[in-house]
Amino acid sequence: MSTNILEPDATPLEQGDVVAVAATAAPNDPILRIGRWLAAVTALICLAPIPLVLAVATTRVWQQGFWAGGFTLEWLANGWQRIAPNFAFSLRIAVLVLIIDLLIGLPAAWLIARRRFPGRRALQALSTVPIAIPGIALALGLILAYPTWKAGGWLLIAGHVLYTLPFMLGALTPTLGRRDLIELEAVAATLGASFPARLLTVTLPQIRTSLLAATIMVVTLSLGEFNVSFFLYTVMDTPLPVELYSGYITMRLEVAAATTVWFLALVVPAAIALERLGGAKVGQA
Amino acid sequence: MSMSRTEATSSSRAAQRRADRRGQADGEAASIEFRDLTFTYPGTTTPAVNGISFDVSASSVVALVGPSGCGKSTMLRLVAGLLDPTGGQLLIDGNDATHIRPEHRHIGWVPQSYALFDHLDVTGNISFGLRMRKVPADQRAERVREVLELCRITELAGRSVGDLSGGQRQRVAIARALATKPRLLLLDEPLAALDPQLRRTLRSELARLLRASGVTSLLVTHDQTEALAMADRVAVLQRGTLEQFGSPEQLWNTPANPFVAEFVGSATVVEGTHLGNGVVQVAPGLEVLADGQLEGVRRVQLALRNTDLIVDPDGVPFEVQSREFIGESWLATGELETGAFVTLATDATARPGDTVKIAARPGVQVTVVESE
Repeated sequence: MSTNILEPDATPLEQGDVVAVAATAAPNDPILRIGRWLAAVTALICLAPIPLVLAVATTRVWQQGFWAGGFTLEWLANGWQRIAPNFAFSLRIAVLVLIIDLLIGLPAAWLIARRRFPGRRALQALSTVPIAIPGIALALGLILAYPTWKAGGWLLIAGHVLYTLPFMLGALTPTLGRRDLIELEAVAATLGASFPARLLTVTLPQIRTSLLAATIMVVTLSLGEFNVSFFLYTVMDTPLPVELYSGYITMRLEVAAATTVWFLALVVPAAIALERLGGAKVGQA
Repeated sequence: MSMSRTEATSSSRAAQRRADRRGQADGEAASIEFRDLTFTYPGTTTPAVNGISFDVSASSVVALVGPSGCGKSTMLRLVAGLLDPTGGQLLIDGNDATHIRPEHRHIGWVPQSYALFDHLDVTGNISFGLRMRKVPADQRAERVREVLELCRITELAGRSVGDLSGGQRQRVAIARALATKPRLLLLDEPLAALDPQLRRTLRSELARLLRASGVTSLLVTHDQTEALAMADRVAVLQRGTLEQFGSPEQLWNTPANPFVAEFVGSATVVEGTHLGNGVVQVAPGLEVLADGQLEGVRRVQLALRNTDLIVDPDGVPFEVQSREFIGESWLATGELETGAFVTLATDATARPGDTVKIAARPGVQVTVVESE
């Protein structure tokens, strides 16, 4: 419903006069209320396992119930000892993957965003293919194509790069295509800045938020990736998610839960940072 | 076909080096010559800029005016080197600058958005070009102080650009462009992002600044009032072609065609019959005195301005079809018996649907646009 708000001393309206009217959105939209409830229920379902895992990891004998036999930090200490080497290994892989993603992703995103060339759309589409292909298929494809790479661990890195690169491109391409960024670079050019100078003094500072978001995303995805890692890892070095899986198969539940708590403690802050940077902001700045 | 950047000849590279040396040596105002300059955007067939030729003398202020899409901003980008012409030539100080890269042109460009670097403060923005040109820190600081004073924004020196008002942003953008002592200053709709009240104030301030800096300036605007008020010469563009290039007085008094008369002169072009001795009948009973020689001429087109007609009880009937309030009076638009639409100032009593009587203002001489 709209309302006309007229000044008390305004000229009376006559036939043929034109007035501006405005309508305000209803504050208690029922669809909005249902949406809020659905969001709350979904969040509850997703978050409920976390306190449960924490409870299992701090209970002396879980089979007997919540904190049966007393509260303990022993399993957490034991779990950390168990996964620390795997975490260090996964972190090394994630950093290497990030460096490769940046070296390939930044120029590729720039080309896709700024240049019109034959095959540009095909390249853009091709870059998203790894997201659609199941990790198992991706891993098997890599093993068949490059069997000798597996022993050195390079196949694991290649798998992670293929899996994470689309996310890097997805974060950087829209940002680099921003009209205002292109205009800032144009101003810098007229002020005497060469291409490398523009890249260092304007482009990179302007896309820092997207770059940071992409960095956190790639590292988080690589740390938590299971499907590709499971097929491509070597017995010499086991990635963290594979070790977690192994823990649930072979160890008592309390230790497995403790390793999960550590995994969450390592990954969740990164996910929160990503959210703080603003999923919506990825592509803007 | 035009020469692409990758195909730039050694002579144009030499021209770049010369341009660099000149840029580093001094910031003397440059002249510009447009020689049949043409540009067609990739993927389109209609040129956005179509064979434009005119000269801009050093230290003058030239306005490029025209409706949206007429090619005026494209012209500015061609001068800045941000677009590569598909035909013609651009000479700066008599030297071919057609394909020289923007970083070698030594020009200052102020885009409509101002495009301030929000990761730098005001001083960082202003000194950016000086840093790019490797000016020593002490000279940089001195030059920044000078342009801050010139633009009257000394108090903004350490401020974040995010905290600036529209008017302050405009002045910082101009200060940034002037800091490197450019040979040319290019301003794309410098007042468009400001609210109307501020626009009027800053218009005279901007005119002062351009005169004080002495730099050759090309100013793009869609507002003919701004162009006439600020420029020494005005280029009127329509659909990528140059309609007229001249002083504001020339454009106002002797428009080259009906488009210039209507766009720049805020006039309505109406047809009339020359009755002799300069008297032209624009509608039965409505006669005006034309400005110019009309001997032997029968049909004429006149640029009728809002001030040329008045409400007169002895005049011809005129039905008000629409009106707008302009502060001191109302502007009423209606149709003459001939079907021509004209506009004139009225008081508040003339409402749409009313019929009032109008006549030519006594003593007024109406501009002739075309005659046959």
